[in-house]
Amino acid sequence: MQKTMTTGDKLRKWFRIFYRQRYLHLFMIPALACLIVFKYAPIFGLQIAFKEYSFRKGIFGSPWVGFKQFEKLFRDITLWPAVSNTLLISLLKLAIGFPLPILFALLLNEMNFNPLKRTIQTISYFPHFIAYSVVALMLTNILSSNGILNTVLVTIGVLKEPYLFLGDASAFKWIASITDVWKTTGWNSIIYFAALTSISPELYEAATVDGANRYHKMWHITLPGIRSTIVMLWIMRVGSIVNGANFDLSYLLANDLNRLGTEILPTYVLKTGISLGRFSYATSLGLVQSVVSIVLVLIANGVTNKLSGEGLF
Amino acid sequence: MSTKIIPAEIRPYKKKKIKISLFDVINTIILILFSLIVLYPFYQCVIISFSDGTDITMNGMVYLWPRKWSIDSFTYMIDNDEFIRAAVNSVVRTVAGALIAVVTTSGYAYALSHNELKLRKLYTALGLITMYFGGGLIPTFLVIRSVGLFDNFLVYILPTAFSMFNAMVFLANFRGVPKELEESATIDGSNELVYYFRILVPISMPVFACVLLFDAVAQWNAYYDCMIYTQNDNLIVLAHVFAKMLLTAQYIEQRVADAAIAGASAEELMAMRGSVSSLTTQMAGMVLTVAPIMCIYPFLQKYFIKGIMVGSLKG
Repeated sequence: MQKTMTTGDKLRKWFRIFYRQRYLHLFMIPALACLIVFKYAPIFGLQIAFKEYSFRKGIFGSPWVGFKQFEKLFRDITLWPAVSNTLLISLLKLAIGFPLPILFALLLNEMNFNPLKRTIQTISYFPHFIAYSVVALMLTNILSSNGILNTVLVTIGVLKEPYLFLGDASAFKWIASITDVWKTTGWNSIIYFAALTSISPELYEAATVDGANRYHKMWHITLPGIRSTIVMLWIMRVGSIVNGANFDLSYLLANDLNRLGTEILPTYVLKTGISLGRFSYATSLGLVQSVVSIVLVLIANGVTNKLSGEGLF
Repeated sequence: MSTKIIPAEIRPYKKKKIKISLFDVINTIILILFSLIVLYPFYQCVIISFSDGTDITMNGMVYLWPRKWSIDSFTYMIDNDEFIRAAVNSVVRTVAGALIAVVTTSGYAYALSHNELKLRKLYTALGLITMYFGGGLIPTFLVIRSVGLFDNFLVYILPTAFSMFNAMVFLANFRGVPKELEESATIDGSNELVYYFRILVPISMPVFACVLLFDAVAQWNAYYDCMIYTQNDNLIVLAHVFAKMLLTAQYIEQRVADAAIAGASAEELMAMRGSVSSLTTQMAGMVLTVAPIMCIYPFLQKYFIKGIMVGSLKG
């Protein structure tokens, strides 16, 4: 006769199975240790945003100050250039960098000569694998007074004399966003290529029989075919509006002349937090940034769900 | 798993007779221009690095072909102690970091691939949360310092040892391995450790190679950790050499400007500028740094489409 299991029995059974799986749990240990120390301990450390952190007292010993850091944050005028630059660069990157991989994938998809197509694809991915510090150094060379850009612009008569692009604060948002697009367009197009290959070939054949030309097919078959991929990536990119500006370029290419244009939130956090030692203040700034980013993704997802029912979650 | 991705090249829609339209011509020109724009900066770096330094200073920049060939910049870089030290550090962190990351991450994924695993939901949640939320720069810095990793070589290896994205790539792969394989191995008396190393790793070699290569490239290119978490010059890595060149050049330019305002002589200003490395040596260092990536690029390319697709679709 079957006896109903008591809590003790259940517990014993649970532990028996757990013990049988001990090697599997052993496999988890390195990853869990990593997660706890390098991911969860910092999340736990976020509490210093509500404290007045001092090295001497440590994370636990520092006194609670409530929302004082956040109040300081919203009153700090030196912060606003960093906020506006971050938003500007991120929006520019989104405006240029979001459609370009789609366009690139579509154009390459229309190409029929395979060896050339494969070569172009291979070349386009390459910058993704290069360190940003190397890219930044390359950029100083390209943008210098005898760099290729100035030489070309002077030769074709757009500029009368070489222009110091890196010395112009208002030019930096273009430099940063175009460089990023240069580095990522090919790589970001991979996911669209994969989506393109999953479109059924019969659709194209049927359309050809019905007399559709290239543009009809692109508009009525290809674009709807990759629509869900576009929507998915769009939702994920919207969150990057508050943190999409690239730290590396802003940090490495900053100089006294373009300081007003290069300062973005991550460089500001680094400077106030680590160089000036205002740990609590910088942490509160970082916290606001990531909360806003998550909220934006949720809003974008909600709106997409309402409009087309194709949200991520 | 084997979600075989059909390369875009062999897409079905093909015309019976080849007809070249105006669209094809313009399309090809645009795409070739695009690849030239992508390639040219690298190309120019290579030709500058093979040029004679004084020739560049005296007669101006080279754009298409070196005017005066020279490999002095390369010999200078190879004789440079800091560069060699950085190269050694980069190689060590790349090999050790990538291997450790693959072991940690695949172990996590292997355990999670068992549906009957106790605490599985907790483990999964612990990993997934970190994909969307993190502590940020300052708390991470404080934690790294308090666990004694500041100015420690392990700071390059341990914080990156686990990545949830890669774990999902592994997980998708391990779920495709037939359950019977592990069952029969268990019946034959081997435990999970033996099964993992003797059977699972060999049959999942492509995904292991893929993640290993990706981690290796990320390690090779990382300089942020070197910049923030180390002060010891012995710990410098290659990617940081260039960041340092840029930051030093700005620092020195600023000091030169200040000195000029203060009324320093031309010789004094020249002496201050002397510590900025010349363009040709900078480019030579860059070519030496990018070369290893170019060497493994063909292997990378073989795997990455598969890798990125599995990760993004299952995620």
